[in-house]
Amino acid sequence: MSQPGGWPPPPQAWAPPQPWPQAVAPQWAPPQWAPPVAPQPAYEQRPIRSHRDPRPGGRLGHRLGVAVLLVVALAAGALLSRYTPDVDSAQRPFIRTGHIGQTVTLPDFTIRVRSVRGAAVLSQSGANHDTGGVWILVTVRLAALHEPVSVGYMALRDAAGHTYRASGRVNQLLIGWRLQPGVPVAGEVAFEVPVAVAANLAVRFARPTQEDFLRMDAVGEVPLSISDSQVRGWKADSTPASPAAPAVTS
Amino acid sequence: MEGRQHTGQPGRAGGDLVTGRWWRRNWWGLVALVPALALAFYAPVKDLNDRYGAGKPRQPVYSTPGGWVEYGGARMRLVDLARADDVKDYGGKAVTLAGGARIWRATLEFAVPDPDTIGGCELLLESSGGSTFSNGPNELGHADVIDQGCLPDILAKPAPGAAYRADSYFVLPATARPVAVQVTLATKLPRYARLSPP
Repeated sequence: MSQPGGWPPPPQAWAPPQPWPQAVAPQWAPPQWAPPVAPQPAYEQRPIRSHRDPRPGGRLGHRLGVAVLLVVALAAGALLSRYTPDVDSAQRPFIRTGHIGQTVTLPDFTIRVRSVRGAAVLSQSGANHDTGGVWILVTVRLAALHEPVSVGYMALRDAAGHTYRASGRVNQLLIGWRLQPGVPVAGEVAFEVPVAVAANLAVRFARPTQEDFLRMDAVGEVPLSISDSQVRGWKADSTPASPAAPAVTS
Repeated sequence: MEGRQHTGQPGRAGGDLVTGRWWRRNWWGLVALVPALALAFYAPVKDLNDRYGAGKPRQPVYSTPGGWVEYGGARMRLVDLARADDVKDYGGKAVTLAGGARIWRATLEFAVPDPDTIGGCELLLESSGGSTFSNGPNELGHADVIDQGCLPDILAKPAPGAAYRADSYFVLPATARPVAVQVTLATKLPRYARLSPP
């Protein structure tokens, strides 16, 4: 940079003239140890500039902002986890309901509950089976729609949500029966339930054999209209009832 | 994508977002993000679909009408497919089914060195409407018939590689018209043999 008028720039700092050093005879001195000098890097070293906001209060404000964002993120996560349905709820079965005499259509088969009856004693293959509760016999018509299907899950559900699977004390030929499309089959399924819950039951049908496999599966449900007086009558009647075997129907 | 702040001017990233400089610098990354995300979601879905499809009979090995096909190390063909109105129960009484359902018999011929290798086959009768019906149905549990599936007669001992015939029975609604028999081996899925009648 040049000054106006072509004058050279002034010296950076003024200093008084120093006296000329007097000639001194050189004196011998033993060599002194000097620390090794680090090699100079090939690149130019510059001081790292600060990333922080130099404005007054910038650092504190930045930290406060991060803290607020963290709290907001945690609160949002807590809300999401609190109001998001759990696995059992999110993967609950798809239930289609009907009533006695109505056809309930599931993706692979149809259900039509025709009637319900009860008994205190069940008879099959010459053997009588009594119970501390009451036998519920549901007559149902099942039909596959497009391909062979087995209905492996048949259960009663009471008002409290308790489930009673079809009894294993007698042969239940309809469970696992391989239904052919367009060839409906009807038969009776036997359940054993406590007397106290028998008046408020719904019957459920599904393909899987295990209740755990009902997740996100189709389930047909039909409430059974059973009165308390019917239950008392069934319990008092000691005449053995024989469940009807499955047969092709129209 | 760039995330650093402008050198020497701290705190300008937020300003860049507002003024659009950040977007101009990183637009290519945002554009590349779209196909990257699509690939990330496509890969697991395709994998799941492939796994599901591999367990289903989806690739038919077609036969000509009554012709032989090679499947599962065996040769097979559909010899006959006809109504079986002569089926009787163990008391000698003709079996009739409610609702007009019909019994059909399929006669297949196999040639295989060891019949046990195809003994676990699954047979399905395919109707013109696309529905399928399994052999040995529960409806014929009281019928005096033997459903052989893919195996020779229990008393027969065919020589290795010699052809033998096997009968299978199906129950169809009165309105259904069968068009083919599907033979599936679980170890050969998703391929299956689709045999047409002569």
